[in-house]
Amino acid sequence: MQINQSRIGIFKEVFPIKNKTDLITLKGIIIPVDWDTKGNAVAIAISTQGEEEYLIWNDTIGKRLFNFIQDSVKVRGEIMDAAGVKLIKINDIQKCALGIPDEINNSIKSSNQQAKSSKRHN
Amino acid sequence: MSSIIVITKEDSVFRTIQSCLTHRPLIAQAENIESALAALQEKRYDFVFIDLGILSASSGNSDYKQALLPFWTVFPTLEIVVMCSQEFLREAVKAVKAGANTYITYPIDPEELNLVMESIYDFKIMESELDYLREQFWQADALNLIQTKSSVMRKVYEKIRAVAPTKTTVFLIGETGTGKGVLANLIHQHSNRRGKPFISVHCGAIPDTLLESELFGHEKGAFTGADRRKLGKFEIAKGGTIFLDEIGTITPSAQIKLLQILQDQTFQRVGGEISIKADVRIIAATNSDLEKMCEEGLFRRDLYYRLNVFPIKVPSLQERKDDIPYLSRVILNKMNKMHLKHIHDIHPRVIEAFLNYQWPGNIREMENIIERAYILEKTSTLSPENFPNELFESESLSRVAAPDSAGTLSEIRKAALEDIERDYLKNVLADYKGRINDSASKAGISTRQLHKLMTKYGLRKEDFKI
Repeated sequence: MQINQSRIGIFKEVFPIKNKTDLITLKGIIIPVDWDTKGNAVAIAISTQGEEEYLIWNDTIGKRLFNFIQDSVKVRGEIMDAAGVKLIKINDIQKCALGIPDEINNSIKSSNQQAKSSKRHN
Repeated sequence: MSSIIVITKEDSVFRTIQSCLTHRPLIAQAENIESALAALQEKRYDFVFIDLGILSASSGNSDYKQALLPFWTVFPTLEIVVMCSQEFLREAVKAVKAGANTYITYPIDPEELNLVMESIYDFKIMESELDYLREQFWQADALNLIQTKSSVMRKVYEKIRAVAPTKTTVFLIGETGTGKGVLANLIHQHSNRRGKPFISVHCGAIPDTLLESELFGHEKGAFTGADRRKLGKFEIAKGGTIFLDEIGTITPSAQIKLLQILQDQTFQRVGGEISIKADVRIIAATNSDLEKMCEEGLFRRDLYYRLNVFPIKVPSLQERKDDIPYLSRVILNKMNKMHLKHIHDIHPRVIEAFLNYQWPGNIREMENIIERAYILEKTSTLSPENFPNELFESESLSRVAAPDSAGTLSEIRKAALEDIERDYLKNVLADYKGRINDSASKAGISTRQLHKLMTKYGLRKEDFKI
């Protein structure tokens, strides 16, 4: 689902949150969904690998994700429904290597370390 | 069991390495790079140990990357270890930075040598495991396409990996001929929509008056000649992906309709009133500066923001020169599949000219040039004679502009004279449209001499007949 700009306005003004769910984990990329007149992103969402989009709640943790626009992340948080817009209040953020699944992310880290030690003289 | 080729003039160094290695690998000695390359052509080796002095002598101006390139051209996975004395550590570090795996110092310490071999070996195993896991994502038919030595291009593929499974709008920015359409298809093939249509629309090729109708469809009677309802590309692409190439050329009214799709996922056919749901993923591409167009009022800023959600800058061929030898071989293989000829190699002088050429038309231009040469070629190697002369101009210009200090004065002088002679003959042949008699008379030489020189410089009279 793409985020309707007019609905973001409603969300910002009245916060009509209907349902709260348990904590869930989402993997995807952070994208801008609303801009100010200078073209700076003022609202962001996570676009998941299952073609869903969740607007990110703009609290202290959510604001940190503005630094991750176009990056692959794994986030954990509460899903809420605001006037038909799905949004997520984030509890935890983890940056992933671009498009690379978790199971090999750790291997990449260790391989990078291995590469460093291989070029130990450098 | 691994195999090693040691490039050194010192027999004692070779013998030390031979005796140090605990695994008793296959080991051979070469006295210079040329004989090592000849040995590599005949037999596959896993490691090359090369004396820094020999490498420096062939590199010229410490361009170690250029000196190491021939090894990787033969075997891309070859592991290279540089051997040097303590006083040349700085140079050895430069060689490692240029791509060698590591270096060891004289006198060779058996423990250090075995440690170096083991760590490279372990790293190779881990790297191949990672490559295997990474390639699980890419489909078999895309594996050829995603091979790259360019770090810029690797980032492009990483971005594609990340964005492909989402529904995010992708904006491909790059010069004409860089392969934006191919990348758009790659994204579609690796998305959840791969079983659904991939519709490519070249917006610049459709007349303004027809563009809206092409993209969004029209109702019967919407305009003169609209005698029946027509579905637009957005409806045809339902459930799939639409690729809008040259997006900067679309009309202001089409921009409004596209903005509506990006915001609300709805649109109306031309002359229609019903809102239709657009279940389509959009990939747009441009080779123009849309931001500048926005400033000039030629493109809607709000639409630009919505298209620019996930921009991917596609590098020009100039920016990914390392890929030129590989890409040229991929194109040659493609030609072999399409035609009944069996041309298996490209002349090294052609590859060298490819590396020096500017490629204003990027990969598309390379494809066209190779296809032309392929059709004309009569041997099993694509030879310089079948490529346009312009290709070799930058090569000769660069030689004149920066003479290689590695050669002797007489060699440099000879090369420069040949360049001038070749350019002169080209100009004369061009002036007389390839007519041998007239050209020879203008040059003050016999036709026989002219023929001889034309053969020497790979000039063909047919190329000058316009």
